[in-house]
Amino acid sequence: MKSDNRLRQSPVKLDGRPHRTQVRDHWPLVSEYADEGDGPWLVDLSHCHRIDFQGKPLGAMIPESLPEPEAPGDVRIQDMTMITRMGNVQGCLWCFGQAPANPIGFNGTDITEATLALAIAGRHTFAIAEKLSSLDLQSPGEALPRLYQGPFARVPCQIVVLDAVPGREMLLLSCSRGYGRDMVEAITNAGAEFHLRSAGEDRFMGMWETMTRGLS
Amino acid sequence: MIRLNHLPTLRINPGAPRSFAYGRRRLQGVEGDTVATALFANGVRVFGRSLKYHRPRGLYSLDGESSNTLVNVNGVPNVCAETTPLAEGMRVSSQNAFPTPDLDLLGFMDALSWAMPAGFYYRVLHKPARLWPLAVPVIRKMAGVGTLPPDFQAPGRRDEIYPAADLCVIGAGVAGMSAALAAAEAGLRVVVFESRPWPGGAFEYRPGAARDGVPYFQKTAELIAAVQASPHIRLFLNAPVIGVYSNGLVTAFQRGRPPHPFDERYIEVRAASLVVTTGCIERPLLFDHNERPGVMQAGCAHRLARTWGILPGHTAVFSVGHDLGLEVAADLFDLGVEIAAVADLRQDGMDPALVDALSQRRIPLLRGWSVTKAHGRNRVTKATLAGANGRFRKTLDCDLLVASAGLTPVTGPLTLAGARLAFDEHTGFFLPDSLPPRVHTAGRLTGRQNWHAVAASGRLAGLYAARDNGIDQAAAIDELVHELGARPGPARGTQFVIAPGSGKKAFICFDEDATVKNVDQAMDKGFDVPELIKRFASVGTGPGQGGIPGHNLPLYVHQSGASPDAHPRPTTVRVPLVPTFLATYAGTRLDMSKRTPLHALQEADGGRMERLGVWHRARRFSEDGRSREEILAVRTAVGMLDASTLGKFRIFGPDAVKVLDRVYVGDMTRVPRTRAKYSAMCNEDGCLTDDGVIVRTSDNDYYFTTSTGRAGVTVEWIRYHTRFDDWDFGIVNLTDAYGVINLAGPEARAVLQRVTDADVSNEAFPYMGYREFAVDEIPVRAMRLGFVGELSFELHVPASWMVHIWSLLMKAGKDFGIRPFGLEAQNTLRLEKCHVIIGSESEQRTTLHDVGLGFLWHRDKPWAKTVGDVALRQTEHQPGRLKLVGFRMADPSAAPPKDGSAIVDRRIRGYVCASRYSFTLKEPVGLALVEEPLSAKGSSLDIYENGCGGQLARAEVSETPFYDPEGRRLRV
Repeated sequence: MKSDNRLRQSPVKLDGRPHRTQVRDHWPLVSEYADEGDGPWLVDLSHCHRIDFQGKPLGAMIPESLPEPEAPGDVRIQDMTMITRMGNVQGCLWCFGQAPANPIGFNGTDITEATLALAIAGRHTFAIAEKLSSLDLQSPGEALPRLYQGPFARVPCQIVVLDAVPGREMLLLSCSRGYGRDMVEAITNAGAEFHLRSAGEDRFMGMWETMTRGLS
Repeated sequence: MIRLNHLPTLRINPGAPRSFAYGRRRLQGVEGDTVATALFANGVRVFGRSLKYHRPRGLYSLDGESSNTLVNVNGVPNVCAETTPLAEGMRVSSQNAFPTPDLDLLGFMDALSWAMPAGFYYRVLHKPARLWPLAVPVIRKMAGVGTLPPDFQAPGRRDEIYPAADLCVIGAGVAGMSAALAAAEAGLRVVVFESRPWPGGAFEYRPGAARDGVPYFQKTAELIAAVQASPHIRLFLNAPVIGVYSNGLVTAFQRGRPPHPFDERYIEVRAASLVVTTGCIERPLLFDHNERPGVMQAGCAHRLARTWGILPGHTAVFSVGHDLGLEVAADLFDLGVEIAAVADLRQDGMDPALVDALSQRRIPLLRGWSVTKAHGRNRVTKATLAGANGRFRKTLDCDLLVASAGLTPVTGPLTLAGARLAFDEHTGFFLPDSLPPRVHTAGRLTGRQNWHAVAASGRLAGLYAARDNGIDQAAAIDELVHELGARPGPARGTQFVIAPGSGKKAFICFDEDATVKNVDQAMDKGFDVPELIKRFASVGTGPGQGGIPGHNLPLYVHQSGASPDAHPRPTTVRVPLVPTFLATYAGTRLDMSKRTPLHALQEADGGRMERLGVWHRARRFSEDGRSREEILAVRTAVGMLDASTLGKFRIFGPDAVKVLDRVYVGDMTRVPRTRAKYSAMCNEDGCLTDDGVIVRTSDNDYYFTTSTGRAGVTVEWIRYHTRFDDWDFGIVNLTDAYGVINLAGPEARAVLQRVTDADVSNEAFPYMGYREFAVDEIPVRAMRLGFVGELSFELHVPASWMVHIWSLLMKAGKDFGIRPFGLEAQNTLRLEKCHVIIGSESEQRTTLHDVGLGFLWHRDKPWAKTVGDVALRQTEHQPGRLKLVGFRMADPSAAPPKDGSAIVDRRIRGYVCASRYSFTLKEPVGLALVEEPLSAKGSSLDIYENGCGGQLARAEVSETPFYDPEGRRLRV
C-alpha cells in the first residue's frame, strides 16, 4: 500500500515563520524564514544524509572519490560533502543537498535518522557556543574546519567548526535525535541575548558556498 | 549625607539617584553604590547583630571579608551588602536583630558570653545527654542568620559560560593587568577575573604617587585602558574566583549588572597557565571591642571616601602597622576628616615622605603605639591607645577608628592550585615556598608595594605564562628580571597581632563571635595547632571564609608558644573561596532529556508523560492509575506501545560474532537469519546487567536491542570487554535511529496486515521470527516477540517515519478497538506473564540463575571468554542466594503490596519486586526476591508494608507464569 502526502518529521522544530518551504525526499524543509535578521542563525540540517564509516584502514572504507581525513579531528570538504574523522577507525560523511552518490558499502551505516544536525552561524556564534560547551572551539592552534567531540549543553556531541572569520562564523552540531527539543531550547535560550533567529537551509547553503570558496 | 563629588576617583554618579527601602524607611543612594555604601551614606552604622552575642556590627571591610554586613535583600537572607550593587526599588532589611539593629532585644546575650566558652556546644550541652535535643532548637533559633522557607527557590536569572583561554589571571590589579597585557602581546588568549566591579585593585583609587609624581590612580587608569583595548584579553568584573582545581581549571561567578542578561553566572575556565595576583587584604588588629561599628580597615575608610564620596567619620583615630595607613590618614585629612592621632605599631621603617606628610598636617604620629580598646555601645565614641610597654595610655574622642595590624596576602587560589605556603619573616606573609608547574604569582601578594615593581612583577608572570605555552620569551624574561631587581623589593611587614591587655572582647573571628579568649580556652584544652583550634573555637568557619581571622589565628597561636611548629602554619583553605548561591553553581540548569518521535503525538492522545532516566515516556493514557482499559485492550483486542527507548545497535565485521559471544551468555554462532534470539548480558560477577534480542541481518552483520537503561553504555561496554583482542568489527548506536512500536493483542496481526503487503501469518512469520518488509513503502524491521504475553509485533521504524506509521496503524486498528497503552499497562501485562525487567526483578547482586534465566547461559563456549562465565559457574548452585518467585495474595481481595515491601519473619527475608492487580486473573499477583528456603512453591510469605501498623499481608509462592503458562497466545 501507499498513502499520499507521506511526510517525515525532523527531530527539531525551530521558532519562526517559514517564508519559503519545500518537500525533499519526504522531508518538509524550510528554505527561508521570514525576518531572519543579521545573525546569528540556527539552521535545522537534520534531513542531510550522514553516514558512519568504521573499519581498518578507515581510508579503505570511504568512497574512493572522497578525500580521507588523516587524523582524528580532521575534516575534509569536497563540494557539498564533508568527511570527519572521529577516531582511528571511525569517520562520518555529511552530504548537504543530495543523498550520497555512491553506495555506502558494508562498512557504512546511515545514521541520518539517529542524530539531529544543526548549524549555528553568523556573528556571536562562538559567544553562544561558549555558554553551552567547555570545549575550546576557537583554539588558535587548530586549522579549520575541525571536528570536536564532547559535551554541548551537557549532551555528547560532534561539533564541526567550519569557519571563524568574523561575520562568517559557522559550526555544525550533531547529537542523538531524542535530544532535539531540549537542544534547540538550550541553544535558543543561550542565543537570546545575541538575537539568535531561525534560518532556512538556503542561509546555510549560502554560507557553505562562501566558506568552500575560501578553502579552495 | 552630602557626597564628595569632585574626586577623580569616584565610581558613582551622584546625579543618578537610586531609591530603596530599608526596613520601613525609604532611602536614596546613587548609581554605583553598593547596598552597604548606600546604607552608610544614609547614616546607618549598625548593619546587623552578631551570631552568638548579638553585638552590634558595622562596616569593616568593603569586600565581604566578614558577615558584619549580611542583610536581607528582596527576601533573600545573608546577602553581602558590601558586594551587592544597589538597584532601584530594592527592599533591604537587617537580620538577626529585633526590633532593629540599633535596639536589639537579644543584645543582653553579650553579657552572657562567659557562659559560652570555646566548644561549649560540645562540652556543656551534652551533659546530661538529654539536654542536647532540647538545646538544639533554642540555639538554632537564637543564632539565626536569616531564614529560608523549605521550598525557597533562588530568585533571579542564572547563566553559565566557559570562556576559552591560554592564561587565566586572578585579580585585575596592576600586577594582574600587567601580566595579562604581557601575555596577550605574546599571543595568548587571556581571561582575567576581578572580584570588584572595576579593575585596578589597590592602586585604582589612591591619589598617592611614586617618584615620578604621577598619581597611582592615573597610572592605573592608563593600564586599564590598555587592557580594555586588547582583543586578546577578556576581563570579567564583579567575578570572584571560587575554586582552582588541577589541570588549570578555575571556577568563578559573576554578578550581573545591566545590561547583563543574568543576575549571576557561573564561569569555568581551563587554561594552560595561571597567574595569581590577588594582592593583599588588611590583617585585623586585635583589641577589645575591635568590631564596634565605627572601627574599620584603612582601605575601607579610604575607599568610602575616594570611590563613593562618603566621609567615613568626622574625627578619626588611626592604629595601623603599615605605610598604607599613614597614606590614608593624610589623604582623609585632606578630604576633611579630623585625625586625632595616628598610632603606628612600628617604631621605625615608615616611609619618610609619609611621616613628613603627617607632620605637615600636624597629625600626631605615635610610634610603637596601638589601640587597646574601643569605647561606645552602638558605635565608637572613644579609643584608648597605649605604648608598646603598656605604661603610657591616652584616650581620644573619635567616631572613626581605623585599625589594622598589617597586610596579609590573599593566597586562597594559590593554595587551591597546590602551592605550599611558608611563613616569611621579612614580609610577615605566608608565601608559597614552591609553585606548581604553570602557576605564577606577582604583585602585592609577594610583598611588593611599589607601583612600578608591582607592574614589572606582573609583566614577568605574563611572560612566564607565554613561555608555558611554548612561546620563546627568554630574552624578554632576562631583561625583566634585571629590571625587577632594580625596583624596590618586598616591604618589611609586622607580625603584631594583639594589643597589650586585650583579649576578653577582642574578636579574632567576627562571623562566629570568636574571641582571643576563646582561642586561649582551646589551647588550654590541649589544642595546639591552628587547624584544630579553628574547629574547636569555630574560628574562620563562617561566611567570610576566613577573611578576617585568616592569618591572625596561626600567628597568634604561634606567638602563644602553644604550637609545636617552629614556624606559623596557615589553616587549610577550601572551595568556595567566596560563598554564593547553589543556584549559581547550577548555572542555566539545563535539564537535557530525550523524547521519542511519538512524544507530541502521545501527549496529544492524553499520554501522562514521565521522566524515566534520560527519556520521557507515557505512563498511561487515562486518569486510571491501574490502566485497566489499556490492559484489557491488549488482552482482548489490540494495543500499541511506544517502545522507542529500547537500545538498538548494529554490529558488523568479520569478528562481530566473537564480540557477541563475549558479552552475551548465549551462543551467538547459532543466530539464524530469520529468527530473533533472546539473550542476556552479565557483568564479571555473573550478575544480570542487560537483556535483549539479537538478529542476523546478513553475513557478519547483526542488529541487537538492549534495555533502555543500558543503551547509553553498551558501546563502551563492548569496546571495554574486547579491548585486548584487536578484533575487526564496527558498532553503531542506532537507538535514536529507529522508533519501536509494539503492536500487541489478539487482533495485532489483522491490524498489521491492513498496512502491509507482506505475509505476516503465523506460518510466514512465526513467534520469535524476524522479517524486513515495507509498510506504506517505508522499510520496517519486524520481530515476533511477546513481552506482554500476547501475539505481538515489534516494529522498528525509521525515526522520522514513526508518526506516520503509528497514525497509519491507529487508523487501521480503529475497527478493532485499538488503543495506545503505556508503561503501567505494560508492567502489569508482563507481570502476569512473569517476564523480568532488569532493575525491577534484579539488583546488583542478582545473577542470571537467581531470576530463572540460567537456561540462556551456554556453558560450552570457553573460547568466547564470556563476561561473567566463571562467576555463573560458581554461583549456579551457591546456597544462600535470593531467588525470584511469583506470589499470589492469600486473600485475593487484598490490595497488591507496594513495590519494595519487605518480606519478613523475624528478620527480612526478601522483598517484593513488583506487584499489581491483575484484571485478567482478577487478583493481585507479584514477583519477589526471597531467600532460597522461601522460594519453594506454596511457601507462605509475610509482607511488611510501610504504614501497615504491624499488620502483615500474607502471600503464597505460586506457579509461574500466572497467565498463559503454556505460551499459546504468543504463538498464534
